[in-house]
Amino acid sequence: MSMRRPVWPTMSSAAALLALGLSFTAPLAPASAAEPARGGEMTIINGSDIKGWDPAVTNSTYPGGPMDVLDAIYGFIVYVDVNGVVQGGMAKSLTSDDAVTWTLKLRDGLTFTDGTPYDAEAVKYNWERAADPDTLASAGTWAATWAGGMEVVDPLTLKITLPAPNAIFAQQVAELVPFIASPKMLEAAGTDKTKLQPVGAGAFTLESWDQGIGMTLARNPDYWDAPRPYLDTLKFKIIPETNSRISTVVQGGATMMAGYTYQFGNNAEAPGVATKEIPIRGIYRGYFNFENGIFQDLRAREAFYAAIDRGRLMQAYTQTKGYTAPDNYFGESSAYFAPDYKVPGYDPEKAQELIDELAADGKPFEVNIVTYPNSDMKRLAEYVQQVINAYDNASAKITEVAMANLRDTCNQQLAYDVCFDGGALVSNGAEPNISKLLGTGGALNWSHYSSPEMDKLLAAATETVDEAEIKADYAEAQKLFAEDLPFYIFGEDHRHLLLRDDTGGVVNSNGGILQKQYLFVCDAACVE
Amino acid sequence: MHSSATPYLKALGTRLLAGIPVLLLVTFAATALSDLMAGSAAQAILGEFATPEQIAQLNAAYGYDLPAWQRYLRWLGNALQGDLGHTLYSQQPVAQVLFDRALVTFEIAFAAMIFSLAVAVPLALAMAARAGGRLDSALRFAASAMLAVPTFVSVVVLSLLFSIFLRWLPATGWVPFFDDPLGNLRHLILPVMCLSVHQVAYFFRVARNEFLATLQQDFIASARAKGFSTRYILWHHVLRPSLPQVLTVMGLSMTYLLGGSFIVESFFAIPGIGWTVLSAVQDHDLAMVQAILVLTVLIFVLVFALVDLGYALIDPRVEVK
Repeated sequence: MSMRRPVWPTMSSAAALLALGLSFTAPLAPASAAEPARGGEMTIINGSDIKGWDPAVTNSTYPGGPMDVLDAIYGFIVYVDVNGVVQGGMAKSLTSDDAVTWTLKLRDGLTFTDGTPYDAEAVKYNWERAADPDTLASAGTWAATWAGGMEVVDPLTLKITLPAPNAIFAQQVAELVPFIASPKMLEAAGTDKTKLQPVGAGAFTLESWDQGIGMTLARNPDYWDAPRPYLDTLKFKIIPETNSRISTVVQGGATMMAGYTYQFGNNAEAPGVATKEIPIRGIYRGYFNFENGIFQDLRAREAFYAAIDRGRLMQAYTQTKGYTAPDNYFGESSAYFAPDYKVPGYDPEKAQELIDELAADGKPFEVNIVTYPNSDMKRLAEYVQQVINAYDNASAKITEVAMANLRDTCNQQLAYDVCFDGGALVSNGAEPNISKLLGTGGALNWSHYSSPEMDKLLAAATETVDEAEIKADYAEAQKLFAEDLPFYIFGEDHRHLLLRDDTGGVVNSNGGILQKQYLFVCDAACVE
Repeated sequence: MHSSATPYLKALGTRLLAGIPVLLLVTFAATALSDLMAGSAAQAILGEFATPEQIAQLNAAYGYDLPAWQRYLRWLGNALQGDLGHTLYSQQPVAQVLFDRALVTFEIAFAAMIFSLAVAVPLALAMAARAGGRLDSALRFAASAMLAVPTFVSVVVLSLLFSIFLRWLPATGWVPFFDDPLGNLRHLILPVMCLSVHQVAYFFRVARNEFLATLQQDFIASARAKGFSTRYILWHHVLRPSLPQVLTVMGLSMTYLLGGSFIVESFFAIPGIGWTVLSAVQDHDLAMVQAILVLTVLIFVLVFALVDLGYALIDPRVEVK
């Protein structure tokens, strides 16, 4: 099995459009042989429940994450399609000619389910609320930098003037502040998050929610994009155990779940079941501690890369053969991929040389591997430990912490040498994840890597609308990545859906979130 | 003149009152121990990218940062007024959620208990009468093997067999009895089977040994001398004197069934109190955790009190104090 599949077949043209700040006004329709039909219900299984309906509290754009559920109620105002292009969602478009002044065009006649108009004032109210420190939105600081520059031109037009050029503003909106709720409901709730009700203008409305068990949503008959949504009822069911989720779909107890092919195994071949790749690349990663310990020394990071065959590490992790180690942050299918810059490959002799050199300098190659105790992560950590222990002058130990503690242990306490987090982190487009991972103080930069040169390159890539300049900036960023080795990329993967084969209208966006308004039940098998 | 029920009611009341310190201790420990858990309710609400300052602000706004004793007294004061609070995220009344989910767990536990007794006791009676025979030896061996199988193994094996390979039974989920009795039965079978693997073996071994001991009593020899059939002796002379021991085991079994429900409900995604308490702990939903603890302590105190009283009802030699 080769994990290197074309992800962005139209990336060059898409990136060009993006750089020009254009966005399409009509959403991409799903490619499906079957004709969509109204009615029926589907059940999507997620591993955990949402924690509230605050439209400003957003995180996790992966399929089955909290934003996937909020999307059903609020709908994305704009979204990033699988090609990395910003598309109109609840809004017609969000565009700019100079990356400084952005124009949001809304659709005529949209109302929230409580009758309040979904207009420019409503959007302004929501984004000002997100910027308000009392809302406690994680994107609040970012929103505060531009929220003062909003101007309602007319009920369907909102002009946003940014303090500095930002070519990826629309992408950031799609990820950080994409949900707009009824201002009437938000005002009534005030700062009390427990009083927030799910009042949006999205494809579905909430019928019932049983915490930790699941929720039932009903079709919003006034949804702007009639005849969508096709389904009468959409259910989210919570099943934390992966194998139970899989067996439920296999048996027909639910319509779909998101996961990885290595988790599905032979179940993907069961009668009535299909799999569908979400064409959004993700990377598996470990963080080096740049503040304490051995990995402050570049030679140690080089040795780590050279010491382990990353293809075999992926095999140990997934128990599936055929993985090829990625060369850099961007995969081969990316428009930004720069083939000249590669992280060190497997070279045990070189690794031993570097380890010995470090030992001679009084820097023993003693590695504390921190991860959380699920079976996949245990296999991963144990493989790394065995390989490191096989070298002379090198040793590795494993420290397991609760999954909920991993961020705190690694990012806050820095009590690790190398820290492995689970799941493939979406690296579909350059931003915003690349800055989160490589920018100084980035939310995902657990390594605490800090390079003024990298920061400058990342900022430059977002400030220009010139495609050639963007590519050049990211090529330099990859060169720097291969030189500095800010973190350990050991694999790349795509999430998949395990689903009933009569599921039509599967369209992913952002990090893989399903556009649920397109879903429909086919008369026969129709998954392509 | 005292009614004959009075001593039993008094004894029951005394035992229930004795459970109050346990109840207070357990619920306070839950509040205090929640401080040791990773993360916080505010962290869960605000998401993974919230800053420490934002988390601290929300914790302060909702009083999650108060000392454990203050939070406990606040909860206790409300609970004494019948207000168990609301679930942390969906804001459902905890009392209603508790009631709905406890019904599910009770149904499964009760069904598992009945099924286990129905299989184990007649088998144990029959094998006690044929003690040492080939079938008896085979069943004792099987019982030992079944006792060695932990619930987390039986759920996987039985689910694989009946849900994945044979596809006879649903892999996960739950249908309330009053919504669809047949659907309820289909969803009930697998969890009950998983819980019963251990229980059937346990009841069989205990009951067989007890029946065997009773069969060696003098009054059984007298009954045989009178010419009563073996079947008659087993049902009329052996069963009742042996029941107190079986009753004790039933009480202990409740602890196993409730403990096992955590695993069974999690694996089969059954909305009972076992699954609820696990997710409530992970989600820092202390109101839900406390409510389930209160219910669990009450169940245990009540069950053991009823077992004590059951001795006296079954065996006139036992005096109720």
